[in-house]
Amino acid sequence: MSALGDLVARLLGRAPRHVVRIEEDPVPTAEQIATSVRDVEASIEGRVPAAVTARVHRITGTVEDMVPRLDRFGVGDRQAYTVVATATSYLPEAVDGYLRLPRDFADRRVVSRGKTSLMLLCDQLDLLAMTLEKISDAVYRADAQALVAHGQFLAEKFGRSSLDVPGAGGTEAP
Amino acid sequence: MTEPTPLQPPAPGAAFALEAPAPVAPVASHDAPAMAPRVDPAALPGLDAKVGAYLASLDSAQAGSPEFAAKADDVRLMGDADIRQAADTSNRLLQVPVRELREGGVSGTSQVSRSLLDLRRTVEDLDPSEKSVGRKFLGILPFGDSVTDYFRRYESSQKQIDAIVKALYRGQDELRKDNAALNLEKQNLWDTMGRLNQYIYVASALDTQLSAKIAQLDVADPERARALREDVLFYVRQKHQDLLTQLAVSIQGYLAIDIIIKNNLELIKGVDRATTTTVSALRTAVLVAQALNNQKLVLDQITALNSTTSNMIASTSKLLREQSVTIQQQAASATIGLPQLQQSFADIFTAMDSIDTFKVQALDSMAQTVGVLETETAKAKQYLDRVSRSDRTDVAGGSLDLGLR
Repeated sequence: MSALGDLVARLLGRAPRHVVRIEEDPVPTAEQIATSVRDVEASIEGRVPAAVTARVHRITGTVEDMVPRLDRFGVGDRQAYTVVATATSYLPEAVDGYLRLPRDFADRRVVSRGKTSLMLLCDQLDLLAMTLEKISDAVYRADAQALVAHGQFLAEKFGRSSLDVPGAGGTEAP
Repeated sequence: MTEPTPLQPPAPGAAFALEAPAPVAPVASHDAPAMAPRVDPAALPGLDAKVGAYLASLDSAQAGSPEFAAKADDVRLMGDADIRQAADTSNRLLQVPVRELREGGVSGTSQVSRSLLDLRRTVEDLDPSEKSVGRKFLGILPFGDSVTDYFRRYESSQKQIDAIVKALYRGQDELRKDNAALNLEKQNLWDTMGRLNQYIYVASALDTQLSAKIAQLDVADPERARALREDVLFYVRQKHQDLLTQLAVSIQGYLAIDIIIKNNLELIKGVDRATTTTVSALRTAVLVAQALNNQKLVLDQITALNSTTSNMIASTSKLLREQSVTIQQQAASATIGLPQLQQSFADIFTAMDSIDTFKVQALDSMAQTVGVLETETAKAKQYLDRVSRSDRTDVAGGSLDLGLR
């Protein structure tokens, strides 16, 4: 039918449909996100205090949980972007900024408002972790809602009313 | 006692528009101290004491002696390190607006600009104008086929739109990072200007007190008066002018940074508008497709999750919520159709057009700012050349050094 449609289109003087090609960078794939996360974890191995390692793992853990669920977000969703950007940009840049400094300077010298570079990094990692957890919380809660709704459906279909007389409907209570 | 008047509700939303800040105006050097950070009143006694101590020791030096020459040197070298640092910073900061013109957010090469161009091309392709969907014939929409074809385009475009919108978010991130760095520059510059202003206070106090002393000596000891006037007061005034000039240039650099920060903020606002109108149009398309053709448009779930990430509770999500309430109501009352879809596309074009207008104005204003900065920095360079000719190492300071760095 679309051939007829095209013919009609030409007869009526409408321009034929054209395909727009753009050279936008594609959204990072799950594979690229996982690689980025692994790279960050490898770069901190043995080079940062335990406080930093714990925080980084907290963030990467949340990211890895969220990646399979990214298709649940809609087109152009800002929170999906935040999850991906954390893995590919925000987290690596924070960690790299710290790693570039000599360990002694980073851990002991105050650089801004009474905080050392190490403390600044921990603050940034905490902020990222908290933001990601809010997003993942919202996703899981939406899933939990489905479970709650299902429970209500089952209860409504199979449950008994408090006004029922025992023995009604041919089913004996066990 | 008058009754308190109730607040006026805000005026209904004006058409969306972005505002480019005006270019930097030249700062006269005599206006500079008033614009710069004020000298802390707590520091004044210390500065006065320094001036007093210097003049006392100048008194005890015989005209023409090495001690006298050393005192004169103290004036010539006063604040040199700060002047040099301020000049270096100003020269560096002059490059910032130049770079902004070439590669910054409002330039044609930035991520935001490129992605907006892509967005425009994609939106034009999806535009539900008569040309793409088909003219009505006798008030009836044309063959169901072309409408079906039109809506099917959405399914093939959605990956593209997703990539463009995410790229726009990336562009916003770049602008925000730019602003964070610029704010740090502003802070450093503020500190430098504070120090320069302290030296200006000292120079001004020296001028006043020395002039008074010279006036007295003109009668009692004309030789000494002449020595003071030519070998000390002359350099005090020269130093005062150097400091004022450098401060004026620093202030201009400071104002120029402010303009760039404002430009970036406006652009971030503009991108917010463009992305929310785009997402909203997609939602409308789903409903219109259903209403027109009973066609289930297979797009990903577009409704946003109910989360409380702090910066999501901004105008963007509010706008999206308002728009989705409206179109849901229209869908429910079967009043939704192509006109609504055309309106939502018109909103996208309005957003993109206002960004384009803003960019033209911002670039123009930035070019003017660069012109002003270049002129003023060139003037300051003459004074700076004199500073660098007095070739002393800056490790040991003179007695008038305020030791602020």
